[in-house]
Amino acid sequence: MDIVSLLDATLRISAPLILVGMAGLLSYQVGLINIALEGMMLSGAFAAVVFGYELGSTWLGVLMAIVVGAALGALFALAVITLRANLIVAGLALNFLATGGTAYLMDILYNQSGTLAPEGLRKLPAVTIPLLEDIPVLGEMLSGHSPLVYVSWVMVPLTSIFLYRMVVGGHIRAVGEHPEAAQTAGISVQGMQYLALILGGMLCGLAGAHLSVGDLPLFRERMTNDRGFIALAAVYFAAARPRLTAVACLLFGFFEALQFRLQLRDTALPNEFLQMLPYLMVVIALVVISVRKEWRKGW
Amino acid sequence: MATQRTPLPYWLIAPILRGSGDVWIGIALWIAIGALVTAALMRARHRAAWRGALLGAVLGGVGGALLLAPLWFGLVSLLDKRCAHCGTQTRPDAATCPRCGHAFTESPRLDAFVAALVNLARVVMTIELALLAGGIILELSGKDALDTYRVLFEWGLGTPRARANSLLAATPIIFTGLGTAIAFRAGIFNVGVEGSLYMGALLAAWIGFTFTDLPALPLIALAFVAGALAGGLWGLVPGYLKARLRVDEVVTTIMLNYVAIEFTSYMVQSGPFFVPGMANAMSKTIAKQAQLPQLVERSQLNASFILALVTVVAIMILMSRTRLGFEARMVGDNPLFARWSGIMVGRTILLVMFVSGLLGGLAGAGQVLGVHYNFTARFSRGFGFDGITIALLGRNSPVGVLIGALLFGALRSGGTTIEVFTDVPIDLVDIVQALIIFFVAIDLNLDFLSRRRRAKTDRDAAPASAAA
Repeated sequence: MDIVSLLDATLRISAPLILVGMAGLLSYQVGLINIALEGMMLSGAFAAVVFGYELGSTWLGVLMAIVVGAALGALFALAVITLRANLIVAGLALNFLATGGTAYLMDILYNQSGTLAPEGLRKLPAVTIPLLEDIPVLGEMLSGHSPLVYVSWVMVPLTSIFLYRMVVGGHIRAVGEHPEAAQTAGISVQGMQYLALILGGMLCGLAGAHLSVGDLPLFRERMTNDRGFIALAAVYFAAARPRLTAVACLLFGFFEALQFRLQLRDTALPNEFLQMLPYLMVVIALVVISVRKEWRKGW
Repeated sequence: MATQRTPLPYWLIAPILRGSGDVWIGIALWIAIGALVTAALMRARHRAAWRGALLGAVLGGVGGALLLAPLWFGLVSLLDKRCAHCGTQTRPDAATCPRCGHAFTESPRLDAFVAALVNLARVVMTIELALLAGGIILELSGKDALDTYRVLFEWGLGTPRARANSLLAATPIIFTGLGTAIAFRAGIFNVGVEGSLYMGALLAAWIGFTFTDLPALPLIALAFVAGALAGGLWGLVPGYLKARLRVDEVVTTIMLNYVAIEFTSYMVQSGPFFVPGMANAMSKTIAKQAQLPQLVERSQLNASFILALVTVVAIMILMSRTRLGFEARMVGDNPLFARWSGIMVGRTILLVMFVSGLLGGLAGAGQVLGVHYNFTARFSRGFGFDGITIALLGRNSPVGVLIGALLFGALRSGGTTIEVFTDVPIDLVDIVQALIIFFVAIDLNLDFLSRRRRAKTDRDAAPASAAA
C-alpha cells in the first residue's frame, strides 16, 4: 500500500475534523456540550456551494459559510443561553433543522434532490508550496492541498494562543471551570458563552466549506456524515487541549483513510470495526478520565 | 408523573368561567375557533374558494356556539370545587370558599386529571405552533400551505388504510418514546435508545431465523424477550458507567449508538449473519410462524402495536405504583435528597437504564418481527431520536408519550406522501420536527421559570404572613 498517498489522504480527511474539533473545544472549554456542530457544519457546506455559485466566487462562498455558521451559533446560543433551553435538546433540534432545511432549500431553490453540483462552481484552488513541493516525499504529502487544509493547521496554534495566552480565552476557561466564581470576578458568563458558541459556529462553517468546495464543488444531503460527533469524540478524548485534539483528529482521519484502502483491498479486518473505533475510544477515554478523577478524590 | 409538579394554570384551561361578562367572551372564543377551523377546512376541501370559506365560517360559528362552547363549559365545570359547608361551586384553583371561607384541601386525583388535560393542551398547542411556523415557511417558499397540510393529514388520517399506516409508524416510537421518557424522568439523559433498538432487533432476528422448529407463540415470545434483554443489557453499559464510575451519560450514549449501529451492520455485512448473494445488507428471513399477524388488510400494521399499548399501561403502573417508579421519580427530582432518604441511587439508575434499554429492544424486535421480517443494516430511520422528541413533547408521562407518538406517526406517515402528491419536498417533516423540539425546549424552560418565580414570591410572602 502506498504510504505517501495514505498520509496525503489522512491530511485531507482530517482537516475538517480539526476545524470542527477546535469549535467543539471552544464550547467544551466554556462548559457547554455542543451537539449542534454537525448541523452547523452541514449548513456551512450548503452555504458555501449556494453562495459560491450565486455570487460567482468560491471564496465569497467560503466567507458566507462562515457567516452562516456564526448565525447558527448565535441562534443556538440564543436558545440555550438566553431562552435557557436544554443544551442537548436544542442541539438535536438544530441538527434536524440543518438536515431538513438544507435538503428543503436545495429542492426549493434548485429543484434538485440528493446532490447539488451547480455548473460553473469551481473548487478552491490547490495550494502548492514553492520550495516544499520539490522535496520528493514531503512535497507530495504536504503540498498541493486545498487552502482550507492549511487554514486548519493554522487554527490549532491560534486556538491555543487564544485560549491560553489571551485575556478573553482565560475568561472563557474561567467560565467553563466555575461559572459563579467567574461571575463574581466580573466576567460576563453569558457573553463568554455567546462568544465561544459563535466562534465555534464560524469554525464549523469553515469546516463545512472545506467539505463541499474544498475537494469537489458539490453538496450532498447529510454529507457531513457524523463528522461533528467524531470531532466531539476527539475533543473528549483529548480532554479539550488544542494540540492533543488536533492529534486525535489526525488519528481519526488516518483510520478513515486506512479504512478506504482496506475496503479497496478487502482484508480480514472488517471496516465496521475501524469505523467503530473513534466512538469506542471516546467511551474508554471518558471512563479513564472519570476513574482518575475519582481516584484523586479518594473513594 | 411530571405533571404533578406543574400546578394548575387556571387561565389555560378556562380563561373564562364565572362572572357575568366572562361567559360571553368564552362563547365568542369558541364560535371564533369553530368558524376559523371549519372555514379553513371547507375552503381546502371543496376548492369553492371564498364561498366555501364563508359557508364554513357560518356553519362552524353555529356549531361552535351550540356544540363546542357548552361542551367546554360542561367539561370545565366538572372541575369546579364544591364547598362542603355551604355548597357553593367555585373555581378549581380557589384555596378557600368565597362565601364561608372554608379552606379546601387539594384532591390529588382531580389535580392529576387537570394536569393531564393541561398537558394534552400543551402537546396540541406545540404541534400547532410548529405546523403554523412550517406553514409560514411553505408560503414563503411559494407553496400552498393549506393544500400541503390537507394532503399530509388526508394521507395520515383520511382513510382507514392511512390511519392504519399512521399507527404502524407510531408503533416503534411509542416504545422508544417510553424508553426515553422513563430515563428522563429519573434525571438520566439517555440518548442511547437507538442503540438498544439495533441490538434488540438483531437478537430478535437471530432467534427468528434460528429456532425455526418452534411453534408460533413460543417463538415470538422468545424473540421479544431476547430482543428486550439485548436492548436492556446494552442500556446497562452506559448505566453502569454513570452509576458506578460517574461518566456523563449523554456523550457515552451518543457514542455507543454508533458502536451498536456499526456492530450490527458488521454482523450482517460480513459477520456471522452474512448471507451470500443477498443484494443488501440483510440477515436471513425469519421463520414464517414468527412473523407477527397483521391487524388490518393492505397495511403492515401488526400485533406489535397492541404490545405497544400494553406497554404504555405497564409503564404507567411501573412509574406510579411501584417502588422502582417512586425511587426513579425521586432520583429525577433531587438525587441528593433521594440518596439521603436511603434510596440507592446507583441501583436505581442501573434499573432505569435497563428498563429504558429494554423498551428500545422491544421496539427493534417489533420492527423485525412485524415489518421487515429480517435484520437490515441501518434500518431505523431515527426512531430513537423521534423517541426523544416524543418524550419531551409528552413531558415524560406515558400517556403523553402515546399521544405524541400517534401524532408523530401521522406526521411521518402522511409526510411520505406529500412529495408524491404535491411539489413540496419531504424534508418539510424534518423541519417541522425540529421546530417542535425547539418549541418544547423553550416551553419546558418557561415552565421552569414560572416555577422559580412562584418559589421566589412564596419566599417573599412568607415573612409577611408570619408578621401578620
